[in-house]
Amino acid sequence: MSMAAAPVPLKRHSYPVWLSAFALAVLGALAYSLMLAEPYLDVYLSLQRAEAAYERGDRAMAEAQYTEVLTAFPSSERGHIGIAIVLLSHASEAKQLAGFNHLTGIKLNNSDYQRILKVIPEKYRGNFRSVKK
Amino acid sequence: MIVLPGFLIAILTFPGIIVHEAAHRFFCDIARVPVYEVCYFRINGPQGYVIHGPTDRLGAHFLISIGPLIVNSLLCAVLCFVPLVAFKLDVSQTPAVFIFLLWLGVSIGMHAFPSTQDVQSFSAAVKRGSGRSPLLLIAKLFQIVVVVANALRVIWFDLIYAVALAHVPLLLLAGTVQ
Repeated sequence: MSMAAAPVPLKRHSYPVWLSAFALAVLGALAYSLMLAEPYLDVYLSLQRAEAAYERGDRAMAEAQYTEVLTAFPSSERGHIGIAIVLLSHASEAKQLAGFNHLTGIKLNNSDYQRILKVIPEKYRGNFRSVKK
Repeated sequence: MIVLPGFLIAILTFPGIIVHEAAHRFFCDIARVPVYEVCYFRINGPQGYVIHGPTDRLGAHFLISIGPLIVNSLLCAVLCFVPLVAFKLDVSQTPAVFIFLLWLGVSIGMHAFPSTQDVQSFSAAVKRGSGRSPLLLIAKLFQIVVVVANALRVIWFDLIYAVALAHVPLLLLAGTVQ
């Protein structure tokens, strides 16, 4: 006659130390993400509002929302390109110049360059040069 | 299409496997279902598994089988949110920690889907518990989705799912803006 021992269940909620450390690390990453989420959420919404406002022709709203994006993240290229397009499509020369200045030092991909070409006044067109990104 | 051996994918996405199996184990403990053996991560063979005792409670089956899908999916969506917004803003000098968060989130999301065995046992439990009810139909449909999803892993469905899931919060937010 052969006998087999009944399997012994593991102790409930008893986890290896390395797993607890791993769980802490993941929870830490989660907490860090949640801490950062609010400002990024606000800026992302501003960006979406800016793009939606520009699409429907509300340039004042678009400019204000892009300004909020750039206040929070001054190095945001998407913010600079967006506000540049808004300002370059303005009738005021001062706004156009301000818009052009937002593009200084930015390497544009072809898609963004084509968007800019649609609105940029003739006198600024010669100020771009091809570079390797 | 890039083809990578399973062990390499397992190594690259090991946090997702550990979270998936830990969630199985945790929900077994919560549901007071005995666990006999656990492997949280290994490179060869099944990359992780939890051997647990039977239960006739549908709620317990749901927690154990579907819990990891919910946990892994939520973690993926939350962890990827900030890095994805930063990339959308095209901020210069994105912090390296954002790359880490994105890798962690996508790794966890890639292992969200239950195994075919998990959903088969869930469907069987629904059948035993409620017979031919609308719940059984839903469980069976879900089983088909999971079987197809697991089969499509060869064409990176797990990665596609994780990337799509990571974008869900951004799409939902964009949808709220008029």
